Amino acid sequence: MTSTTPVLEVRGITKTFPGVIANEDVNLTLYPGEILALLGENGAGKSTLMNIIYGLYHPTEGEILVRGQTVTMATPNDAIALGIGMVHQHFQLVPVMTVAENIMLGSETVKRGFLDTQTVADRIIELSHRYNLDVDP
Amino acid sequence: MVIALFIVVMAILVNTTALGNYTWLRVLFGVSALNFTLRATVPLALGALSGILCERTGIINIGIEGMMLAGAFAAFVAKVATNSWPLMASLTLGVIAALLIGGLMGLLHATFSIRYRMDQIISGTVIITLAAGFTAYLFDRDAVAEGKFSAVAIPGLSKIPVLGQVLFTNPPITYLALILVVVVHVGLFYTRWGLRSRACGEHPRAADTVGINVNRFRYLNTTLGGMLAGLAGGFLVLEAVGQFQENMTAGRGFISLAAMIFGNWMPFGALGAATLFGYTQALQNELLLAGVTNVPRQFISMLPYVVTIIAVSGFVGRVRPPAAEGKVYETEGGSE
Repeated sequence: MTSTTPVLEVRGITKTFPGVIANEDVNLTLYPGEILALLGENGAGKSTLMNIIYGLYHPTEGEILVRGQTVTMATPNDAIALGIGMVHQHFQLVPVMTVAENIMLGSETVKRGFLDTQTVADRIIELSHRYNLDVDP
Repeated sequence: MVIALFIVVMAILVNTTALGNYTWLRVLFGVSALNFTLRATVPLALGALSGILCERTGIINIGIEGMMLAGAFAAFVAKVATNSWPLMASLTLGVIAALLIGGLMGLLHATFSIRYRMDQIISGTVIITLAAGFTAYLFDRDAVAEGKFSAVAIPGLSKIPVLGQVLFTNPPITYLALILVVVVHVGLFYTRWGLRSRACGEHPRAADTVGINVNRFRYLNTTLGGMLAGLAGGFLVLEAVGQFQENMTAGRGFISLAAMIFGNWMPFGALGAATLFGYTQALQNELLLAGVTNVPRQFISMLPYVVTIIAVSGFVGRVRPPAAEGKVYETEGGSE
């Protein structure tokens, strides 16, 4: 596999919801090391496309290739296994849980069978200091 | 906390000093009152734990009463069928039967609620009616279970005055129930399973987006909850009464729900609430035994229910149920 193979390629993705076309024939190629920003007004279909790549929605048409291989993303678990992560908007957080709990949910740090909240909290504090983002885990 | 400490101090004083000569103090704090409290608390605590497991994952379980009754009946049938076995083997089989049938009732409730998207209150009611009907129909009034669990004194600890008699001289399911309170608490708040379960009950979509199979957790925990309610029924037959009676749960499943709410969906909170309700039942019993006649008997019998109503109505605004309980969860991808 050469370095010119796109890590992620989206071909002809169309997603329709009853009465609405959210994405129509979307093509997108992402090479290693690239950072791609997707801009658009509310309702443009940015989140829909991301949700499709993350396996939350299933495309009506089109295909997704990861490192040159066609893949089917049935659930977020498939996407996670392929190395695709997604940071969601705030309303995808559990309000009553702590920052540390929200962050580790789904990929928990476990020590001897128990949640290792301390390690996660330490890491959050470390990161929040480095980026001057004051967060109480 | 302060109240608990007060009761412990009073209990020790009343049972070891001359204070024990006052009848009303013996009624309130005597060893027999406290023993009765624990016995009444166990099924309520197990029922409340059952509710906590289900509701924390997002499934409302008002069918605890039915799961308990089914568990009690299964325990009785298993015990009667194996009367000829050694006592402990036969009783253990009774416990296993109670767990199995309780779990099955839980699975049924989960299937109604998830697979068939039935309203969970209706499904719970179906469970109660089903259990009441089936057990009454199948119950053989001539069957007799021989023997029940007897108290096991914990070496050393049971020698502590008063406390040893109350807490450390009990039959096995009582110990098991107290241990389960701790296990459920630790499980819910300190393990991966608990974190994911709570996420399913609070915000299933968020859980789904990080790759958690919401409905699998709901099936699992509702089944486990059913097993706990079944165990409560097993306790009634194998440890408390020794026999099965028609509708023997007598509303304990509903008082368990009250204990769960009063305890704010927390295992230790629920145990505290269950103890309060258990204590009022003990008080009712002790007052009748002590021959209190200047208050009509019916008023004394009302005590546990009145306390339950007051506790729940007074606290219901101050506790917070899991945000997503009672709501069917469907993945968006699956709606195509």
